[in-house]
Amino acid sequence: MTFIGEWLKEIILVVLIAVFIELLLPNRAMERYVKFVVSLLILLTLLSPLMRLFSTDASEKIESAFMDNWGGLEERGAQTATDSILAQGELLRKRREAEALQWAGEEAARQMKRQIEQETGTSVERVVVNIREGKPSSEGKPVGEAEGPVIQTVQVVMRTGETPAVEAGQKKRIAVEPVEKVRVDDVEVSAKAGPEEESDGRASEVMADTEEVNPDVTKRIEALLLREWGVPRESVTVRKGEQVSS
Amino acid sequence: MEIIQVVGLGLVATILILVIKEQKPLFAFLIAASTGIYIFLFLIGKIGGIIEVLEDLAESSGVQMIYLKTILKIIGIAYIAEFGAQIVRDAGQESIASKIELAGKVMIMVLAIPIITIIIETVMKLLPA
Repeated sequence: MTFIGEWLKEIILVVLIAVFIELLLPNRAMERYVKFVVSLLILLTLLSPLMRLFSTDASEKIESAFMDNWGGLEERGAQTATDSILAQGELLRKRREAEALQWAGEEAARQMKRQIEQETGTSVERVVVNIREGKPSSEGKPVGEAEGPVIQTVQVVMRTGETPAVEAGQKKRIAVEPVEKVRVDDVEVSAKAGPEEESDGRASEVMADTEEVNPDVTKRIEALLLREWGVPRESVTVRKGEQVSS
Repeated sequence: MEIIQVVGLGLVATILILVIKEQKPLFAFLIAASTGIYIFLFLIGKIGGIIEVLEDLAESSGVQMIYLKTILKIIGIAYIAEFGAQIVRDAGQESIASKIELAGKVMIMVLAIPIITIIIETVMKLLPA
């Protein structure tokens, strides 16, 4: 009963306001249009219990619909709508860039691995490439890639259990066979490449790591990465697999 | 007594315009426009009082404020469009005045769009699928 009472009250008030508005209107030119909209509002009020019956969040929906539409008329509303859309776009762009960087890192790692295997004849277990988004303000970067992403670290993990002599011997075999088939299961080389800004401590650590692997191989890998990828020598880590180093 | 002020202002402005119109039509137009703006600004305070009462009424009786806001927006658009159109019409630019009125009508119709959408949605839900 209270529900019907409220509904009636609402209808009466909307009609009253509508009549009042019509009195306020300046002239007859606008009258038809205003009457149309006001009658629609009265219809909406009459329908409101029906809408409540069909959807629980009717009032919220009405409000959101009105807000959406008023965005076109109100500068402020339009501004906020634009802002939110821009923010969403920025978010999407960042996510896509992160995905692209990850993909680029994987692809670069795959190619590095193949090149290292071809160049040195050793078998590489995996190459991990970290790519960092380039910042225009950061220093020490080559002029050419002021804005683009930069290879932060390259980690080459060699397969373990191979002596340099054996590696050298295998290299000759590799020259004949496809590289992929000549994987030696137990040598690991890990190389790490960092940005030029990287600290000296990191570099020396890298050098310490490289001691484990044949220095000749390490040097060749570093030279290859520097030549092909522009990765600075001190940021490449070549290390053996964990079975050997531990 | 405020109505006397308004009418007096209007009369004085009219006489001034009649006197000046022969020599300087431009100034006559300026006087007319500024008188109109003055009366309009004078009325805005009064309309504000009316609207406050309406809002209080609506709030106390539980009418959705969004309805009242829509209606008030319609009044505002109608008044402003009408005012601008009349000033322009006084200056003799009938076509521009009618364009202003057209803009006002379109704006009012834009306000009707969400209402129409909601009503149609409700009716569509009523119909069996």
